[in-house]
Amino acid sequence: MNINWVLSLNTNDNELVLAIGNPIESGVEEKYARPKVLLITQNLKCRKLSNLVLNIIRILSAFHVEPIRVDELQFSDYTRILMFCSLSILTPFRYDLALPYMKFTEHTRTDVVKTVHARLTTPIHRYKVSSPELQITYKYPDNILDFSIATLIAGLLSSATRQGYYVRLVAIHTLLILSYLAMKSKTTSYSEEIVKMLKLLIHDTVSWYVKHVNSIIEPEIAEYHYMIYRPTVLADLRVTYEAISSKIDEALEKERMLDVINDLALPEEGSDDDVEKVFGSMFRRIAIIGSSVKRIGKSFTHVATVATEQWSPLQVAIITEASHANKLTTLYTQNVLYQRFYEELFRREIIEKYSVKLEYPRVKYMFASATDAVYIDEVINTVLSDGVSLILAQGPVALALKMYVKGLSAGVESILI
Amino acid sequence: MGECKSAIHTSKSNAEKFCKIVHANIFDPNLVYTYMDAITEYDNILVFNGQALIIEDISGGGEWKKKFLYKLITPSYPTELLWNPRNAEISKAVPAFCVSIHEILSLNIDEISGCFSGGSVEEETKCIEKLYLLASEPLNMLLYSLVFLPGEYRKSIVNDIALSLNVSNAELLKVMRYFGSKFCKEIELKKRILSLNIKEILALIPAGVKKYRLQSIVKTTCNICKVLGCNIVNLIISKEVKKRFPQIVEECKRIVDSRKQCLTVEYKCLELEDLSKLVDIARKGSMKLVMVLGDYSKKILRELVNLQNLYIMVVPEVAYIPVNLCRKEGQRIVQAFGGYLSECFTGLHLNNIWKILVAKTVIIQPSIPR
Repeated sequence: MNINWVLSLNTNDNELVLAIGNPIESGVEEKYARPKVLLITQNLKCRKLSNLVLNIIRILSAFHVEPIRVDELQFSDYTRILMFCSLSILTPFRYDLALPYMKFTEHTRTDVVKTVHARLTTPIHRYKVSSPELQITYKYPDNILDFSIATLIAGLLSSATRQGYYVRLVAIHTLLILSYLAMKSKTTSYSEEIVKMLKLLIHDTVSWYVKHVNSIIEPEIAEYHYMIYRPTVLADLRVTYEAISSKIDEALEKERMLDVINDLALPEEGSDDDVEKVFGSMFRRIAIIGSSVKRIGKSFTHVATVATEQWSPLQVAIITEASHANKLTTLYTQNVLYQRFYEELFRREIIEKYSVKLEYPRVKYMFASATDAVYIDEVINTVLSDGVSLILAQGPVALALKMYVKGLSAGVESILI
Repeated sequence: MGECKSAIHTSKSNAEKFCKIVHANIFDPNLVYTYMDAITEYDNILVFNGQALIIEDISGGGEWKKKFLYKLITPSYPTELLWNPRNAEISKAVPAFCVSIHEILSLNIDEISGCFSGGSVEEETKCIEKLYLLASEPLNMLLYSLVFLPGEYRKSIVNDIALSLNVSNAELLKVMRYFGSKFCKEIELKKRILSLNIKEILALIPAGVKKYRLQSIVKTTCNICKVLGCNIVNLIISKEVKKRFPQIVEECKRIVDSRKQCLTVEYKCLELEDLSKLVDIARKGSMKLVMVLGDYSKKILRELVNLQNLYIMVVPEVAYIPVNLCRKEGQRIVQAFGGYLSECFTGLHLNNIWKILVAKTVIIQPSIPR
């Protein structure tokens, strides 16, 4: 099997750690029916990569595994855990796990014998990992780089499902904010790599993922019926990596995050450009949230909102920049559980560890429902009794509408978007 | 050692330290449109100190399949593992049951009380059914977190639910008991809407609806109209809806003309080029009910909530409902019902329809002039 490699991660000795690629058969790229290939090597066990591995397992298991004592794991353990992340119905990822052919002398080693299982993994010759679209060299540990790589991997390997699409979108949003932080706060020397990760994921989305999704037929496609920005509408657009790259570079020159988003999301008047359509579908919702709050023209200390499938650190940052709130109460329903844990992990790994040039509030989560009317009433009453100064009602109509109406009745500034 | 240590040194009698959940149906939180069945129904979830152990009651020869199907769902599934509590805080990493094997072996499961009701198996079963009606999503999330999530994430979920209910102590058993006391009760039927003499329904067809969902919408509106005693149903088709399914107006007329129920109700398929006209239509005449079917433009809803002659009812496309409210019988006590709950609004006692409407639809009262 030949593979068109999109990403490789190497150590500074140029040893391959992992790679991700699209399978090609008979010289022609398959009609997107096969999932991506994740190739891992024994270098993943390298001690300096332990925080990266921790985050990869957390995110790819959709928080169903919280690894402890990662340094005690064998390569065979990594293989099995990463296999689980692709097979379990509880995770929004799908990929084929691949291992490079081992040298003959390695074959008797216990961890190799335990790892290579012909039916479960796809053996790939190590020397065929060549010319990836992006090669990252991991020189020394860096939390921002670790979180960015784990996020990129999650985005690239997301399944062709509605949840998979949103996981990818959240990864794009987060890589944008990480790129912004890397450029403005100078907290990492990997800023160039992080910006390239963002560009790669957007390009992979329009050049591979949306075509993959578009090839799905009923009943699976029913998942996408109610989406405003369906990934399938992007399937016929022609957008080059260069066009994506220059648009991102231009936007990241802006000083404030709100301006970055507006630059990306709002097309020039009368524009029918494919690049604008792609960026619009990925960032317009966030831009609308920012401008809706900004339009009120006031500052608020405590904002309450509802997490949607696009809930991400970027959305938190935009709401904060537009409202200047220092406290954010977020209601969420069960279908955004991944997003809730992912945002919390971002806060733990980035905001709490670095002094970043970004307004980011205290976030409090409350569990809500989209279908239980009595429970919805109860939760909204709790929110309203907590001194909320702005209600930003969005997401499931039952919850958002009730929150909006109750907010207005209680005399709280409320918007429904 | 944390949680595990306390498992060994507590002095309470064994049965008092545990509680059990029966008929625990757990649904995949993400797949409501294409995978509406529960991932599985667990007969007993034994809960101790924020951790769960699943005990299956083998009811038939075919149950052998569960053994490996459960494993396929998640290899870290805690059915059969009793961890040695002295070794590590394993439950932080994966779902686990950190308790001494001696304590488990000395248990009399019949003495263990229900987690939500605090009572017997019968009381707990009734309680669980009521919880599925009134607070199905938080219940599902609690059960899901118990079985599938590592201890740290499980604690976050329990804490989020505790915060939502304004409970200060987020200890699992206390939250479950409070949750049970709050929602494990008979539903209070609020029939105020029935007395308002609603004669007309405006059903807002959401974008993405095609033939199958349209049929369900006609069934649902028909039965709600019957209950309310109304005589006109307008199916509102916007430009966006038509763009996604160009034949929708013709299909709508065909479905309406071939309906076998609600023949005395006048059905119209109203195509609106400009959605702002909807506000004009809604404003005119007598008290109306606007039905939002799953999702709709928030911009229009913002305007509609300001009108004083409108009730707005949001009907979910899919909801978890106790089976006995929608079907004569079922293998499980709860199921996800789709098609805008159309199956639950047909051929049933009036009280059941009201129960479902009160529990599963959000009703917005007419606006108070501001």
